[in-house]
Amino acid sequence: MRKFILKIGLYVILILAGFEGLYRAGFLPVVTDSTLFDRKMFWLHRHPEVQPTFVVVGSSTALYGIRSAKMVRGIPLSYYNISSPLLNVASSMMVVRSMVREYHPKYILLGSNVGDFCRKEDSTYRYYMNATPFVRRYLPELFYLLDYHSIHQIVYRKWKVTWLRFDPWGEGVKTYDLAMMRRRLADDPDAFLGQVSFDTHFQDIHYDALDSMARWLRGQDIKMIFVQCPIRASNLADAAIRAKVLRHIKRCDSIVEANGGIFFNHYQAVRDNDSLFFDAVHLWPPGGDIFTDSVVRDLKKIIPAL
Amino acid sequence: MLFLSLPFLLFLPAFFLLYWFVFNRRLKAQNFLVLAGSYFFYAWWDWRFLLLLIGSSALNYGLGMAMNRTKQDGYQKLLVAIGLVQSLGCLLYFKYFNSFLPLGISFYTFKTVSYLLDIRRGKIDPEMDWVVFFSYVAFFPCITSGPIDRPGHLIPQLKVLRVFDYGKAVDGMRQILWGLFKKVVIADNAAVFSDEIFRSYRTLPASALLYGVFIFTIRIYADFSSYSDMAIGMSRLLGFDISQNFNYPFFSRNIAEFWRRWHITLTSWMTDYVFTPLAIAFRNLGRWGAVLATLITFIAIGAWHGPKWTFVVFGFLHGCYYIPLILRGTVNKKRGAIHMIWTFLLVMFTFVLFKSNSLAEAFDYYRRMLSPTLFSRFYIFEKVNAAAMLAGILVMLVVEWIQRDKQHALELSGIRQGGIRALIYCMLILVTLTFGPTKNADFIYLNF
Repeated sequence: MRKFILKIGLYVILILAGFEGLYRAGFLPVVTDSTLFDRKMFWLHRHPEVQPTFVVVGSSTALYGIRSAKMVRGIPLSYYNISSPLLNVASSMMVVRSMVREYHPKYILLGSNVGDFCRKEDSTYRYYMNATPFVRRYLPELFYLLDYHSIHQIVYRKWKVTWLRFDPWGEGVKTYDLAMMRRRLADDPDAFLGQVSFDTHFQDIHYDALDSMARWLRGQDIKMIFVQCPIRASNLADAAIRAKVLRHIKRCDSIVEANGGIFFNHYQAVRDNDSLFFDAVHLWPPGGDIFTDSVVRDLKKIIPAL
Repeated sequence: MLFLSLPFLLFLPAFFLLYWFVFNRRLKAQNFLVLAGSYFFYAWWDWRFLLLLIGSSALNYGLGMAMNRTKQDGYQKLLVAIGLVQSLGCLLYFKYFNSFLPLGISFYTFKTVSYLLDIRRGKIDPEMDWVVFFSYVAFFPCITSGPIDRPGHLIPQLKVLRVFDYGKAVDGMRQILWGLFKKVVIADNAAVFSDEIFRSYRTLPASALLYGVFIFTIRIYADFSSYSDMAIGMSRLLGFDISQNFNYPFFSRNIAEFWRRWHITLTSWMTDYVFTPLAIAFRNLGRWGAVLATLITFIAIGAWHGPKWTFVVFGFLHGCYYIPLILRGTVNKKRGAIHMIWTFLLVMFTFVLFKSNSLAEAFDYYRRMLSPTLFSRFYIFEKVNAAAMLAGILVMLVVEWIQRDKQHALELSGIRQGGIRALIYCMLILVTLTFGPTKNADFIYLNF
């Protein structure tokens, strides 16, 4: 019996050592469907000194559009941007709840894009968020077992994510060839801009999630700041779409303020200047600078220490 | 709880340690742990249906006891009839008139039915120890998808204190490992391709459809036999010998041999409790009586899979394949290698019915498969997985051919050097961990 258990134990140790080796070599276990989100979380947990008081959450609009350097200069609070591509409002709520339990921030800024209220709810982030903070922070290797994916996927993902970079505060740093993208935009603007659509099929589930998140944050004594991100003027050229989007913004405003949050509407922050967007919804870095400057100006009005 | 899940990965070692270190001295304690563990395993899936399992076990246990007390033939028949009505009634209700099928109901129903019928036929005595009987019905390695062990085989093992046997345990682990390899590398990867091809067969060339049905045939074998391998392996870890369920069926040289090698415990169950009584009833019809009994048995096997005409026709066709063998008296005749290929093709093409959602869809699939695009190229997505899967299939077939006389493909008694055996295990573990798909597909036979 002892010999049998010893042998099995050896094989188990061999397998676990293999996974640990993979992890230490930077082959991260696959946790969610978002490579960037996984990578950022692992990065965050490998830097325990990060204890953000001011957290930005949202999708790629907030990830690329809210510039860390300006935020850090503008607000003297420890800061981190947890945004991730395709994070809709319902998923953001899960991320926020988890972040609050783990980091106890005082301010949560939800950088909202119109599309965040349109994408269907998915469970992409649920698995990660439902894991205990201890596992997330100290034993992320356990995800190899908690949410098993085969090694070839993990290896494939490692190579796939090498282009993903973010600055020390979590902002997505674009490493693509800006000149090439500008050329493609000039050559065929419709095809280029059509890569990301401007979706306005709002779903009630996300308004409920926003309401729930705002109420919950109020209960935790955390200030919620809702920032409506800039929208390309050409997206609002159609009167019906414009009216629909404005109704949406108003609805968000009323939900946030009814729950003691603060609403900043920056949808016209880069007014009438479509060239500051690199597709239907995302800002070029100069556009992000303009947007972030206006956000910081607003934040200074409401945060007493600033 | 499913075999390929984290809870089970924790459950099995915990159960193993308790079984051999805490509950190992007394038979009662050992059996009680088997029963408690089996119920825990089942309740993890849905505790409400545990009541159905316990109720069914209690009723059949009571009927067995009552049969023991009476010698009156009529009363015994009545007791058996009550048991059959309850067991088969529940099975038919959940299978045909309910959208939800309790896990493993088909398999434990077969066990309770054979228990009563075997008592009635005088093959076994009724079991007096309720823990033994309830454990026999709910035995966790086999409850969800078999093998369907007969009471005469499993109950005697439950009545003897199990003592740890190193050789048996190691062999059990080998069989589990082989099962994992077949499930993860072959069946789960094949599921991605076969599901996609059957879903969009209208837009694909005939070559893709042929590939799809080939992959599905391999998949269903790898999936189901891997479950059986794991169930048998786990049972051996606990000191039990469970009946073999697959015996390298793709090396069969006629359809009768195929069914003697495929889902053996179901086929033998059907032979004993359906075919044999029918064959006796039709004996005046000579060989045509055997044909009739075979057709009815195979239609029952097909219909057992679910309320779809495709399953019925699947069973009927397999019954038809027997007709020339019965009429020519060649059911047991050994033939050459060409017949092996012919039998495989016959089985493969019939699986189109098994996989299709309706008869119309199945016939449409056949029609499109026989189109001139049979030699067209088609796009294979996820090429890395495809290569791994095809290599896995090749490895499986070669290893199984070499090991075809052994109980299972990883029975390495011929290799004396421990280092080489360890190397083979390590390679299998590495390949299994490396080449799985994104998510494991459920075992196909969990749905039956």
